[in-house]
Amino acid sequence: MLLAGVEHNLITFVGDLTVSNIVQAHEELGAALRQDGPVVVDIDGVAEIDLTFVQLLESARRKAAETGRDLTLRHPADGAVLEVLRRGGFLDNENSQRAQFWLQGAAQ
Amino acid sequence: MSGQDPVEIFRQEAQELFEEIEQGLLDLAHRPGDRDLVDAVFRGLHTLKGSGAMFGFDALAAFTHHCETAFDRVRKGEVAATSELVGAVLACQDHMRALAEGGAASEATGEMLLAELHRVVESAGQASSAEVAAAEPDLNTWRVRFSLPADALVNGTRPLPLLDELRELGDCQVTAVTDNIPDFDILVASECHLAWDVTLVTKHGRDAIEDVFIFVIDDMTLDIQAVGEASVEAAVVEKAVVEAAPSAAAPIAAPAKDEAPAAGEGRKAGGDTVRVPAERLDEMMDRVGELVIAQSRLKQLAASSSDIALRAVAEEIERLASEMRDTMMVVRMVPIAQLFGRFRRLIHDLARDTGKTIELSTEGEATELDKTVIERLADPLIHLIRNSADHGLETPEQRLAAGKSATGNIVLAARQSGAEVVITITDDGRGVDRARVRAKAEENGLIQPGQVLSDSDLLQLIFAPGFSTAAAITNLSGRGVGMDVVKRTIEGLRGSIELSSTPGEGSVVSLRIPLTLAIIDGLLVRVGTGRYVIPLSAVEECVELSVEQDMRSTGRSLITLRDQLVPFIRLRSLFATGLAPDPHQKVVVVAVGQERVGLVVDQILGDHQTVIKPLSSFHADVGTFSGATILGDGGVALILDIAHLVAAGQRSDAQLRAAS
Repeated sequence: MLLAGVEHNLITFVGDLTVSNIVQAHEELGAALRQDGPVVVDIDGVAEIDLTFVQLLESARRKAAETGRDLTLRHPADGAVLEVLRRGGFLDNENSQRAQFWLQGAAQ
Repeated sequence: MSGQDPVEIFRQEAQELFEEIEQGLLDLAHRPGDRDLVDAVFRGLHTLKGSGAMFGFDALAAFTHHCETAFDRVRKGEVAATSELVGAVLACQDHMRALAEGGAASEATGEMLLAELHRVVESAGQASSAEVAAAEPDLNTWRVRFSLPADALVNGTRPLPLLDELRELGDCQVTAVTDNIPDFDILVASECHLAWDVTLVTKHGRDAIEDVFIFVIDDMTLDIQAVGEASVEAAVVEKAVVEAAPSAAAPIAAPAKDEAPAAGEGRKAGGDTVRVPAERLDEMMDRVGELVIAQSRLKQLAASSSDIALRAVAEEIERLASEMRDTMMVVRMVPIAQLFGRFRRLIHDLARDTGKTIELSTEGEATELDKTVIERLADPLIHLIRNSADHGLETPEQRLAAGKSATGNIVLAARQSGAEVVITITDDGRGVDRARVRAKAEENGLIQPGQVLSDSDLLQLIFAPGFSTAAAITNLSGRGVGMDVVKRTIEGLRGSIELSSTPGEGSVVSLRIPLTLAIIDGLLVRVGTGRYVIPLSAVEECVELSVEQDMRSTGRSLITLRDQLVPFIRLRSLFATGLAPDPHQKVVVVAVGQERVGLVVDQILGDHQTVIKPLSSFHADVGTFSGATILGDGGVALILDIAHLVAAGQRSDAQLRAAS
């Protein structure tokens, strides 16, 4: 189960988020974005991700920025997610909006 | 049609991989510094390991892993590709083949081979590290940009390990390029829209960077530039998959990978080819054969009909059947390189076993032959090559003493000649010792003591049944081992075999093989009331034989063709038709090599697409005919064995000459 629950535009992902179930994650995140108000993504319970998830959130982040929506992570990325971001070169510039989104100013 | 057994599919794939790996290894023995070869072997081993594990061949995957690791060290320049290492991996490969075939591969053998491999790798590693220490290169800065095809992630490509490998090469700064990720609403989430921009400071060269992408390089966009290097010098790999999904992160420059590794070519071409079980091709060929026969009947019916529409359709069907036949022929054709490639290992092993230095060279590898013919040629060629290497070539000491180079040469050549392919196996060894052949033939009762024989007849004795078996124990006569079997196999392919040899200089065995076994163009002729087919490829010309000429030549059957006497055979007499000859008999002049013979027939009926049906095993020893075919009216015509008839004609002519 990817979606543990949506409460007031809080979308919670748990378990593995990889190419095998990313389409479902896309639909669920899309549903959350179609609602009014800020969207908060909780990835604390995510065990493993691959680049499709990073790509999905990147696309969502940019969409939100373009449409003036507020999309944030509930907590800064850490653990397995942080490791993928680091290895994939997504955090190269800590001042970029991309790195700010994932790290929320937290140290790498 | 039922699907193929997955295990069988893996075995077929493994077979191809083994061949690629083996060719790469054998080439590497000659060119130890060739990085493309090292890459090709490594890729082959890696794919074999992965596929093996996927299909449940765990023992094979585990064993292959060790060889892959060894080659990874060669790839990284830690270990030199010495001939000892190549030999050890070749030996391991034999074990892998046994594991892939599912036979009784001994675990102890595997362990022994791995221990040997380990030992060889360690000693090669020491040599290599000394070389590396002697020439420590300077640091270079490279800018690497790459993107993967959209289906990369679905297909199991993992970009993160690629980035990790780049980091292992030196100081590395990686930036993910996300500009190409589509809008959230139209994003196909499973596709890859990412690219990377990497700055790498390393002592390694461009090759090492390309190596990181070795398994995905064919389908990706990769741009490697030395900092300060003009973009036109950039190495860019641009393939069709990427062309469909261009990436802004990967500027396009001139393709610089035209000379892909030979072994890699085949894998790449695989995308455009389909693997078809051989028996399906055979079934298809049978159907085409039946179509040709039915078309022949239709043609005959149409000819006797006044219906113009029927005639038009018959002509159209004839054209289509002919095209279908030609297409089918091409589908079944495979380059003889497939066959020749197998012998390199044979030579490698023979050289090791005999202590000789042998150089095998090949010519005309692109020549194509019917796949059935290729398969059936393998065993006879192994015999011939083994004989050349084992018995034809001298030891290095003997060669030096004879004023030759220490290395013995064997040349395997193929060329197309009309509807035949001529394959020659040439060695520069000692040649056939006639005296010993004669002695052996007399001993075996093949000839009478003191019997006069021409040189070619004497050499032909080597192919006689019974010549070889007892002779295997002597060095020279080993040339005869299995030669009768070889000859029978070649003749079974409607081919012929010839041997020429110069004492002290070497021997040449020539095989003439028809391009295909299934359908030929034939000349349909009538002799008495019977109809026969003469393979059109052998026909040189047709001339009339007047009654006067026929009468004049009753004793010695010869006609004059452009000032040359050509012997002829009256098929009417040979087949004992018991009928008077037609007043306007025809002579069909046929040739095999340089030899010509005329075949006297009563009437030439025309050309005929001939679907060859083999004669039953009861008729295998009927030399005059090579098969049968079904005619348009449902009748049967025998196909004449031209090689046999030409030999018979020439023989009788020689006897008459000797007698006169």
